[in-house]
Amino acid sequence: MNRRDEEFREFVVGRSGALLRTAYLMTGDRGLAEDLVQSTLAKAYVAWGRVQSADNPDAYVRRILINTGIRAGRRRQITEILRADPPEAPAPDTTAHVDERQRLATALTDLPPRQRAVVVLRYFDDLSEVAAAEILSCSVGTVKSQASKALTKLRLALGEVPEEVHRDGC
Amino acid sequence: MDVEDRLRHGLSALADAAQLPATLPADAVLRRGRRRRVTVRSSALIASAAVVATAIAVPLAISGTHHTPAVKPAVIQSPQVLSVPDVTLQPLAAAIQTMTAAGFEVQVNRTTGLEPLGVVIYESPAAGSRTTPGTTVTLTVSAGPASATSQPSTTTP
Repeated sequence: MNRRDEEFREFVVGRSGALLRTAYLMTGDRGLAEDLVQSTLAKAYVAWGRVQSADNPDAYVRRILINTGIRAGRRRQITEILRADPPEAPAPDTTAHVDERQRLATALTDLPPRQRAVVVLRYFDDLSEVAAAEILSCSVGTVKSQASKALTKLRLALGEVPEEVHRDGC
Repeated sequence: MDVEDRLRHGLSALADAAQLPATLPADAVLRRGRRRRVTVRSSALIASAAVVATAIAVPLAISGTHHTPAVKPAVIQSPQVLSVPDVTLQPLAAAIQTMTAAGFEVQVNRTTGLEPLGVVIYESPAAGSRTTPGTTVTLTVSAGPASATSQPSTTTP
């Protein structure tokens, strides 16, 4: 096993879990998320020299992940619009907090891929607008406008804040 | 609680609820990376060889995304010494899949021959040789018969 392979394995062991979480939020599906991380890492392996010499290898790989995810999301959008009756329609949950989670999952699925990526980068990976813009190779203004569009949709989809649910037990 | 805070909570709750594995299997990921590296490299090589470009690049591109490797990872169980699989007379794309799945790097040469265009004629080291993982195996691929481009005319004009 050569040096490239060793470094790469180390990276996979250390970082694939975190990448998988981001990928899951990008795709909304475990299988698709694993596939996205796998193909991201395969791309990173091919460009391993560039990954290793980047200021922040993790951010470099995350950038591959997000952009691959957006492209795959756009392809999926086209095929999934053709399905009249999505088989994965969620069964209603009995507990309120699970219901909130389910609503969020559905609302995310309805976002266009780039808006979804902005939401994940800003509110899950906790990146600044500048860092998100860098990953998406777009301007800070675009991140702002995409985030604001996404938030408007999410606010609608999530509805009014169920105060009593979030406050119980606190 | 505004929508941004709900998102911060909601997104991590969503990721937690998925109970994702803590890490992906490094060996499988590495194999896929190697396979992609070979595909990327040999695609570039093939693009430069104008004569056989389309004949080979098309099956290669297809197999790069859809086929699963023909050889099971069982071959990889003894990490020190591997036996080189026999891919002679297979189409190049399938041969590359087999080789990379078995843990070898691949280099491609081509030569004229009587075998059909795009099939592997020789491999070096030869099939069945015992060698270390990651060894570069050179596959020599048929570029079709030498006369294919300059057919001897059987009729007089």
